[in-house]
Amino acid sequence: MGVTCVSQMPVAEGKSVQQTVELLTRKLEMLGAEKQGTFCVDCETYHTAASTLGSQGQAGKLMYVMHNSEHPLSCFALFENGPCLIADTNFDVLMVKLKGFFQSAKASKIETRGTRYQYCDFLVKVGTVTMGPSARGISVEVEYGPCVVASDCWSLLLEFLQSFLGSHTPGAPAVFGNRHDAVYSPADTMVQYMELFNKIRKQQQVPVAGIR
Amino acid sequence: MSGGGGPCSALWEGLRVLFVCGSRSVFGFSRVLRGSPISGLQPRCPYCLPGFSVGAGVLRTPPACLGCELCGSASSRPARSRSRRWAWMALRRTCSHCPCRRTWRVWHSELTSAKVRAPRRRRRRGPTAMRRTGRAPGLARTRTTRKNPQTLQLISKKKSLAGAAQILLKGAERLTKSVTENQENKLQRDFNSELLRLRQHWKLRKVGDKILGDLSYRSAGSLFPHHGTFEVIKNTDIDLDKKIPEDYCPLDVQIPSDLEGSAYIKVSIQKQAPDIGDLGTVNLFKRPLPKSKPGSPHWQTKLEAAQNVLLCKEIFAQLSREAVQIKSQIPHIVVKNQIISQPFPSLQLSISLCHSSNDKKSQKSSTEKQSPEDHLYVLEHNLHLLIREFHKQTLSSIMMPHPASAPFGHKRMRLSGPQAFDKNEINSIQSSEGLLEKIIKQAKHIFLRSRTAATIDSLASRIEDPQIQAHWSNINDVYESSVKVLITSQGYEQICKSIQLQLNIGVEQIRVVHRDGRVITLSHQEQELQDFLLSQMSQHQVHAVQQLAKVMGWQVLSFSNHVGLGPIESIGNASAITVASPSGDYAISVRNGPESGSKVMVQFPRNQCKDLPKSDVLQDSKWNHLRGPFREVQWNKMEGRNFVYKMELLMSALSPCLL
Repeated sequence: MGVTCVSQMPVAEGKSVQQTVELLTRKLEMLGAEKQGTFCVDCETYHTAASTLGSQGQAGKLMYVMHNSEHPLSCFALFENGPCLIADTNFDVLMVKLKGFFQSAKASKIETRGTRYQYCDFLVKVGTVTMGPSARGISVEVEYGPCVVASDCWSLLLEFLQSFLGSHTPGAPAVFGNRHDAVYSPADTMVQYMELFNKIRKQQQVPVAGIR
Repeated sequence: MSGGGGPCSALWEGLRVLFVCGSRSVFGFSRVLRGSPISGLQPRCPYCLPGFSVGAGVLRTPPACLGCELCGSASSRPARSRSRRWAWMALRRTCSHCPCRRTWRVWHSELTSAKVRAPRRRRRRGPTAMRRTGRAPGLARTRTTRKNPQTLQLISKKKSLAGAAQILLKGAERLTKSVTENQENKLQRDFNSELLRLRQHWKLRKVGDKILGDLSYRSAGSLFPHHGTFEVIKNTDIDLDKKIPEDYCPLDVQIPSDLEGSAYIKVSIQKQAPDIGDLGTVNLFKRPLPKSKPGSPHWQTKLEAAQNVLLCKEIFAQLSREAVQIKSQIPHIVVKNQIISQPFPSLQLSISLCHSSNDKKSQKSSTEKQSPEDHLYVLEHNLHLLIREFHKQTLSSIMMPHPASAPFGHKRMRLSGPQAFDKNEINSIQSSEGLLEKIIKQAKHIFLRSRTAATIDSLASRIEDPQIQAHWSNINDVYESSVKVLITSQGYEQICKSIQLQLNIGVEQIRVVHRDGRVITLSHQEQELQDFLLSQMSQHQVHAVQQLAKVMGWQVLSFSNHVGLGPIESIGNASAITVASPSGDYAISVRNGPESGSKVMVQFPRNQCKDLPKSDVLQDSKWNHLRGPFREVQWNKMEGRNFVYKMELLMSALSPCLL
């Protein structure tokens, strides 16, 4: 387990999501990265049930229940800007029991699937973000295995990202700043994914050229 | 009769009256009789009918026919005469039909015979006795008493002796009974105390009237299906009268027949493949049964042996199951009691279960054929360790307390969800190698290690110059061990230390770490290591010359570990060095190859070479100081015990003495 940076890759001009993903993977293969199966991160949104809300009319918080194939036995439950709970996969069953408190938002399931590449100490995952049947964008996750302190290896990560993302290299993720010099945890990765998914969801309202 | 309980009692009482009257014993009743004539009273016999009174020894009233007292029938024979004594009468009041009559007759005849037998004695004692009693003869005395007092005495003595004897016998009987009981109690107590001791070491339970024990490793986590039950029995086949043997134990155990005898797992490595006919016919080496610890009871040894057999069977069952399941390049062979695997080409590892029951047949066969001891005891021991580790794993996976909502499994496995373990970590938890895989790996390592040792040793014994030393580490991992190899020249250990190799022997390969940090990986092939060491030895000689040159003040002109010129070596490369003497007059050039050996050339100054043709160019005499052509030294004719010593001699010969 190392430090991970999750970023969004904009779809290239005049190309489909699929084509852009292919372009990226080809670049990675050219670098010498080895293909190591696939990966999948999914996220489901839950509303706080109306019956449990206070009379003041406060807005219900959203809870995201996520799974990551990198941690196959875990289930992550996150609030926006809030705590992150890591549980085992039985948590999904528990959510069914908690229907009275949390209700699943319909057609809110968003996931990213793609190929997993190993390049020395780096683990690169390029995935297509899909919501329902349609592809919404491209996610790029880069993990640097040997280090667990984000600030120590950010520049290295950045350099590596530049090598194949070029001008679309992202800035330092917000979670890096939250915990300065602290040990990076898998929950931070999930927070990044949650932010990415939220961002993509918001983009959905504004139709972007090039996304089909 | 008034006093008796029944008809027979009347008879016995009559007899008693007879006795007391005759013997003048101390009974009160006789005293009554005795005193009666003196006092003038008419004593009544307490056992006679009313009116049947005794007065002055004569019956006053003629007795009526009383009939038989015993059967109640009317007597056909009335009393014979009045002069008969009352007791006599009393006795005779039985009819001939009465069964007691016979008894009475016997008694009567006895009395008569006693009377006849002792007449002299009676005659002698008669008057004195009468005088002593103060009773006139013929006065109220029955004929019987008068005639045979001695007989009565004798009989009474007999009777009392018999009584005393009876008492003694009774006592003796009680004593024997109590002694037997004591012994039985003692045995019982011993059995119970033994049972208590047994319970301290073994699991016991009572089923019906049997005590069953459990010698399986199930409670320790074993999943072997054998029930491993033994029965506790009381050892009763011992004769209490005989001497109890020293090793006698009141408690015995009965173990299942398939766990009897002794067993062990044999692991061996053979270099050549066996004939197919030899498969599965491993002979059992006769191995003495483990001696019981002093003080430990007989059943403990028996149970321990049985438990060992069970464990060996479990190990073998586990191994054979894995051997069938695991897919390997060369499939493992399971035949009868043997598992054969090929860790390296032309090498076979055989694991066999040797089980000897105590019957003579197997012992006989074991003594007949004794194979050489090629056991790998370390592996046999490790197999036992591994199976126990396996037991522990199964036990810890169901360890309580356990969260009700969590899945079963290892604690680490359980925590892998909440702690968000990634794929690699989960893999590392899950990757549980089987017993067979582990043991094969260990066998490979052991074999590789022993072969490395053999290679180094054979090289060391074959090649005297340079010397090769191996320092083995004492403590090793099961899959890795290391050896430090030093190549030195005798007498120059301090200056020639350039070659120091660290050999890390793994499972499949050997990693060589050179002193300068180079890492070379060698395969399991013996030849590779041998070639490598040979090339290192050859390099050592050249390194030694370099070091020597420094010490001797010579100058190194050139040095190369891998010379590109000259004949090609089949192993590695030749190395070469050229050194010049301090004055610069002479130069020595050495070329050393692993195969071709060493070649030493000396370059002389031109002026010392007489056969050198005069050159037109080099006219000036100063050019004579230049070194001329090389001449080879006949190295094998040089004096000195080794290469470096010879070189030192050569260098000192070529260096001019400064003094």
